[in-house]
Amino acid sequence: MMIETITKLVCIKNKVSYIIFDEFYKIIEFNDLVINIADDPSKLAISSDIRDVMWEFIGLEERMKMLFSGQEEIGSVIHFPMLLKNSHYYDLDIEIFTPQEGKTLFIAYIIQKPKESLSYINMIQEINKRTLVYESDNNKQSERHCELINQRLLSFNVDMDGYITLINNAFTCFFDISTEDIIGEHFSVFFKARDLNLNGNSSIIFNAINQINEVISFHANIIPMGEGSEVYENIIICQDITYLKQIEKELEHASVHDSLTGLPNRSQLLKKIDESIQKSKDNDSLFALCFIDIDKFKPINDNYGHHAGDMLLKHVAKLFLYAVRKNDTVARIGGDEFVILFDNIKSKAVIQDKIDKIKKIATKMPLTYTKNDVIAFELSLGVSYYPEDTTDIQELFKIADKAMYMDKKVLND
Amino acid sequence: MLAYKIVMVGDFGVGKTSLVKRFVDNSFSEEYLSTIGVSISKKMLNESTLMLWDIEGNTEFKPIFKQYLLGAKGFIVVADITRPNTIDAISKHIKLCHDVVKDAPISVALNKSDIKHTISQETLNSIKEISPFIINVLKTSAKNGDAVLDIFGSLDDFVVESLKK
Repeated sequence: MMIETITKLVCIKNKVSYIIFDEFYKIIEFNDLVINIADDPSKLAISSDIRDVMWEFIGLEERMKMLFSGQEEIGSVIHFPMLLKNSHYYDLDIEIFTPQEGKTLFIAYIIQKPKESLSYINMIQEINKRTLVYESDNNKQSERHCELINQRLLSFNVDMDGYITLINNAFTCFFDISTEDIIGEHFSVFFKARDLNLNGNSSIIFNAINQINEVISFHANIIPMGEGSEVYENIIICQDITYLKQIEKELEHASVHDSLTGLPNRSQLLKKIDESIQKSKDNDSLFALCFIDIDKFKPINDNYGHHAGDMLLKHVAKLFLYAVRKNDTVARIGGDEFVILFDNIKSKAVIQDKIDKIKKIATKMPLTYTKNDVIAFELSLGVSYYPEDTTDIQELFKIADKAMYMDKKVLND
Repeated sequence: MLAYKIVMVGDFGVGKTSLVKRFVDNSFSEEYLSTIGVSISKKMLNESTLMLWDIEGNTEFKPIFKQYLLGAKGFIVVADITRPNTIDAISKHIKLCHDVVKDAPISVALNKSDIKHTISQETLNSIKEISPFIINVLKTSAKNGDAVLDIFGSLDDFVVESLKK
């Protein structure tokens, strides 16, 4: 009697639900807390079947029979942790209960999990959520990964004579031709290169024309199938490198042009002069070099700032381009120094007219830097003629340079 | 009316809870909240009352608690048709079920069939060959309800029939 009372008191003190029932599942006794965890509270009553009240007991008959008949060790417990009921978690323990009267019964304890365990549950749920997202995305991404590769990389197989045996989707998309029309064709029908020999090469640069008539450059890796003399086919994987070709072009352009004005630089000018010398020799023609600098450029820089100086250089460059013919070359060779190469001229008089025109334009078209800052400027010019003055290029430069300084002197006097 | 226990077994995130919800309440939620412990639902079907034990899924760090499987008359082993690792785990789950309840009938649900998948006939056949106690392998979708009633119904038919014998 004492043990029974103590058990019940402990349950009440610790808010543990208990329910006592016999071997036929008939409820003998329960405490008030059971109502909160009953799956069907309406059936909670003395003598009712515990399986109608708590669904956990359905299916446990065999195991409970073993417990009841003493086939299990003394003190054995049927334990179910973490039963979710009405948003609360409980542990269920079922064990043999023998009151003093001697009748063997069952007692089930239903113990609510402490609030602290909820944070653990939330953490597990969060981990599972993230893992699921990762696993699902991983599968989708690998699919997407293959799709993206297939879109970007053209790949095809060719036999040892260069005839196409297999292609990927990117190939048909690029050329907009059906697979049937590609298989069996020689790869040179689609790709152009200086050297079309695949065998023995590990990579090659191809050009191809896409469906909108753009020339696309490809870097192709050649992967032989088989080994040594046993190679029976090559797999070609082509990566679009058009943008690299574009960068290469831009770098080439930058190396021979002035970045501020976009005009040819000294290096490009020398190349053009060489071409003009050759033409002069071939056609017995005349060309002129005109050296130009902006008078008092330094004070402009100092008074208005370097930005204004840069704007003036760009302005002057535009004026020169406006004044010359298409086949003449306007170059900036440093600071405020420009050179115009007048190619294939008819007479010195023509050049004199050009010089006068440039000077006039300069006077009439000052730089409007801001609404209030209109920067006027003057130019000094000096000319030398090939082959009339000299056939030596260095000397030609010197003569023009000297003439320009003479002009500057006149201007300043 | 015959009342018996069915346990849903499988890796986490395969859709065990969603299958139960679709079957019991005809509802579905896109939000994923993994089951911790066990939640028991009741569903009347024909002449039976099914007690559905929706148990915590197997994860890398936490195996399935064997005690939950005790006294089950049948199992539904669930895999995610889009996650090959969950399909590979089916044989392990079936072994666990039979360790606790020898020779129990098993239905295999390849869930999330509404999502694009690439499972081959060969894989389907190989799942059927895992155990002679597999009564069927069905592609299910808790989202659109495809084959959900079939998987519970066929297992119920089998269990009822075998209990009558």
